[in-house]
Amino acid sequence: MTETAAQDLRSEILVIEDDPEIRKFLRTTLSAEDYRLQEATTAAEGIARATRRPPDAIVLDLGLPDADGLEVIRKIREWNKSLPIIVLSVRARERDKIIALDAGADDFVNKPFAVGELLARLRVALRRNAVVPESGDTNVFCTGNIEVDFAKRRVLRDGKEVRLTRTEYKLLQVLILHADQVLTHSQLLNEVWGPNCGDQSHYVRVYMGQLRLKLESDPARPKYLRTEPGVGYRLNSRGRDS
Amino acid sequence: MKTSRHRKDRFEYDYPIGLIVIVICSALAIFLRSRIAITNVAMLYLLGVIVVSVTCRQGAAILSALLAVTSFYYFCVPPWNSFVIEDDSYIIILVTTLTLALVITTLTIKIRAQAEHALDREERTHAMYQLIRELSEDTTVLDTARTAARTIAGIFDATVDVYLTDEQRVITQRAEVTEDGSLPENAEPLVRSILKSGVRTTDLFRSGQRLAVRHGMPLICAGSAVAVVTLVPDDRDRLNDPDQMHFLEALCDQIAAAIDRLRNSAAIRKAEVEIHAERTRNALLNAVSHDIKTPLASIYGAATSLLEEEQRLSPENRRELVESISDEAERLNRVVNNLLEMTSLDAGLRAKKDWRPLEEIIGAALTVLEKPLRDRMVTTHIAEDLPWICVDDILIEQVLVNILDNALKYTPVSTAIEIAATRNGDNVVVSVKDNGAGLVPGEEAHIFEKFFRGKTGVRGVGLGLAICRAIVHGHDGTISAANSPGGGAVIRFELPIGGAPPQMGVIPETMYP
Repeated sequence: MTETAAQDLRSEILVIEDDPEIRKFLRTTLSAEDYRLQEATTAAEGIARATRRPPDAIVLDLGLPDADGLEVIRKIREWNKSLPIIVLSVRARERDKIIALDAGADDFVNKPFAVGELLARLRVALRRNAVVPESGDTNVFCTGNIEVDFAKRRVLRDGKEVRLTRTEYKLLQVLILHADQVLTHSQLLNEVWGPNCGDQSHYVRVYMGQLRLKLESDPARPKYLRTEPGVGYRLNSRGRDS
Repeated sequence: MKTSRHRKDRFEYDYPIGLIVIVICSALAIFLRSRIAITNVAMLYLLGVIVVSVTCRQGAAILSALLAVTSFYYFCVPPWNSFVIEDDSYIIILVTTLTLALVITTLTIKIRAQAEHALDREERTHAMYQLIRELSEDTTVLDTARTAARTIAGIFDATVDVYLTDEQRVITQRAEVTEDGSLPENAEPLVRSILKSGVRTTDLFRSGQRLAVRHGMPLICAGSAVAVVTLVPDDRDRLNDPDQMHFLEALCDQIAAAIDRLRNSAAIRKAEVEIHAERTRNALLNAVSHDIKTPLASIYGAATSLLEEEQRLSPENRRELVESISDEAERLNRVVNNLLEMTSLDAGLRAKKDWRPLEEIIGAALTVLEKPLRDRMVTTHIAEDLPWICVDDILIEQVLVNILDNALKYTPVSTAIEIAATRNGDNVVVSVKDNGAGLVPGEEAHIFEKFFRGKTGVRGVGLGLAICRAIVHGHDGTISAANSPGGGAVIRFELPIGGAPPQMGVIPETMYP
């Protein structure tokens, strides 16, 4: 009795991937991490499974035999805006990643990837989806030597107050709201500067540089405000960690 | 050879000129015959003969000489105005005058012919020299054909075309029509027959109202006709002179030699490219077989060992094997990335440049190598006035990753790595200095060559730095390696900033709190 109840509580992951070896290794790893699993080998099967019994998260390969993985994202986003989707992508195809993220994917992992990386992304995505942010919970954000008090709009580094401009603060706020999740330049522009900013990703870079100067001990080797080359930025909430 | 045409034009009036000169001489003689001695009158006629023989053609000159002597005989030998000879001594004067007139005419004409011939020769030599010089500057067969057409058209006042063939003897290209730009009558049958026979051929065709002559000259390289020059002279008889024809043939020989030279050098270049490609292919095969198979062997070996010997392995052994699988897979991934990168660079993929802060690119590169760099002391010095640069950030990141990866491979774990970025005029200079044993003298330039591996025998496909060079060159930058005076190797690359960075004056804002 208790066992079935416990099973029901486990998160279910839908893996859409055509390669059997990668499916096998994901199956082993995810089961070991106490996730339940659904598998699909084509885009069509993936969409069908996701519609029939919506999982808690989807791990999606972009290169599927019958359709582009992007199609899967778009189809699913038509009826479900919040279902976390993690994309498996190949490095050097930054353009695909940006399109996937802007189409509604939550995050990506570069192939070949370390299991730890995928699990970390999955945890972040599941957590974001499960916990509705309560004002009480998110009043203070703390990581390493940085502390942000949203109620007082105060930012502390090593306990000392750091003065941020309005835009810098807003940028930091957005990053913390999506902590450990990648944000593309256009997503950041949209959230911080508003929807009519066009392709002014220079703004994001300028303000990110300023934030790093104020918050990072070595801005050239940022601990928290990480660059995702060619894609965007990610706030690393656990300091140095891959 | 425009002057020869002028000379010819002048000759159209030489009979009237001869007649007029002799008439003038006769008028003067009639006026003077009663005043001066008869021998002086003869001199007057001889002067006229000299004038005519200098200016007119042979026929007109000789005719004028005969007319002069006859006029002298008629008007001036007493009794005047008759062909009667009063005194036998006048016969001597008459014969002497006739002889002198003919000798003067013949000699003058001969001298003039020689002078003209010399002038012609000089003009031809000049034209030939000009052609050879222009041909030597042409770099393609088509250019050569154009030069040839232009030159021949100028020399012979003709409409000239050059038909080129490839190895299969098909007419492939025609040099542009010269002179007035009109299209020639269909010359293809003539061209084809010349290509087949390899001999000079002439045909006739109707061009408007008149019949035109078309000469076809084969251009012969290595015993076979590779091209045909056709010319339609404005003056149909222009090439009837064997001298002119020989000159044309000499010009054609030069053009053929030029085409032959270009074809040969193209063939040599092609062969060189093939040899280079072959060498690269071999190097690639060696690299792939060594640098991909080795980590694969480790992975396969460790994995099978785990599968088959599981029971007999201690937990430490098992952990070691798993670690080696993970490390080798990572290495393999980098090798494959570099091979892919090189392939796409070779395929000529264009850089997607935009304005980027260099600091961020350096940061991204350090993030990629976070794990291998964990035990290293890495310092970064970025000049404060460093402007943004217009680059493909992903590619420049790759440059830094490869240089750092190289430093990691060739230096001991305990040594530090220093990264510095400064401005140098319109460029930005990035240097990566390690504190290892430095480069082997003489290898500094070679380390950027594809598949080069130092003598130290460290594993790696030898593509990393070749990729750096390709990327930096693709950004119009330079890259070099040297040993630092204080020990260790320095690899530095210089990139143009790429113009004026976008203006992003930060608007003054209210501060929090």
